[in-house]
Amino acid sequence: MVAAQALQEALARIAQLEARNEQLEWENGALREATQSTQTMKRRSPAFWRFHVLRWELGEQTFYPKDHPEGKTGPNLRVYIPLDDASEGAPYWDITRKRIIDRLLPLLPMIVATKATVEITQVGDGPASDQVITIRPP
Amino acid sequence: MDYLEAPFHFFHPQPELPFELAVVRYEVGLSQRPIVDPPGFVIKPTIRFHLAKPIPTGLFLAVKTGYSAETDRISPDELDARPYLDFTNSPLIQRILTVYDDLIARSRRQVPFPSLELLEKISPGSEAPLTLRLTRHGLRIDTRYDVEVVES
Repeated sequence: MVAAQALQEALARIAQLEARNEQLEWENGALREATQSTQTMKRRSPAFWRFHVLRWELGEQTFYPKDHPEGKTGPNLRVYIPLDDASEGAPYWDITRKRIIDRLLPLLPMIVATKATVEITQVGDGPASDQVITIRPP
Repeated sequence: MDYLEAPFHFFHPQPELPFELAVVRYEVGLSQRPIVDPPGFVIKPTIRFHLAKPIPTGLFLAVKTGYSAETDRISPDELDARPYLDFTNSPLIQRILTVYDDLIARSRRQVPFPSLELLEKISPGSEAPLTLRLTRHGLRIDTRYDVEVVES
């Protein structure tokens, strides 16, 4: 009698936890999408990136430098890359440096159409750094 | 996505040195993480592990509330009062979500019914901790974590 009651209580607890875990699983799915928001292309020199581009979006991103705690808005070029290309956990790069965006943006239709490879090499660190962009045919 | 409640306890483990966390539950939200170069802060998705007490001795040595290990180190009392650690590593967040999803899937495969012990460990409504062994590899943006579930 006691064993039956204990079993009944355990089954009730299992049902309760299963319902909670089902909710957790649903929340995880939403969190997974929400946290894959930004993969900014930043590395210490020497830095090198090689990738292909499937498609791109030109949007805006808000930064919070110390002298602008309210935030500043700048361009954000998101280039989606194939899953086989190395990334930082999400299948795209966010390019925020205006100099690279200005150089790369006009070339993107050709890069996507021809499946060319983009190589970006960074020289130097910080605001004085420069980037060399090379487009290699497939 | 909402902000996690301040203060933030950013955890900086030594690379290649595995450590274990007894996680009661986790939250994912935003934090303001101070940065040196350029000076200021960035707003980043963050995973917060709420830990079972007692907190392992010495864990607080790797927790910072700002970017300086010298001036922004947390006190053991503060960590004891708010027993949680914050990580902003994006691949780690994805990995943890996958680990919990895999455990939920595993519990569904158990017959004739799921293990109560496993369900208690997974569920955020329970106080039973799930022990995770984490190992950090690399530095800065190249940081990666290995995550293992420690089976008791």
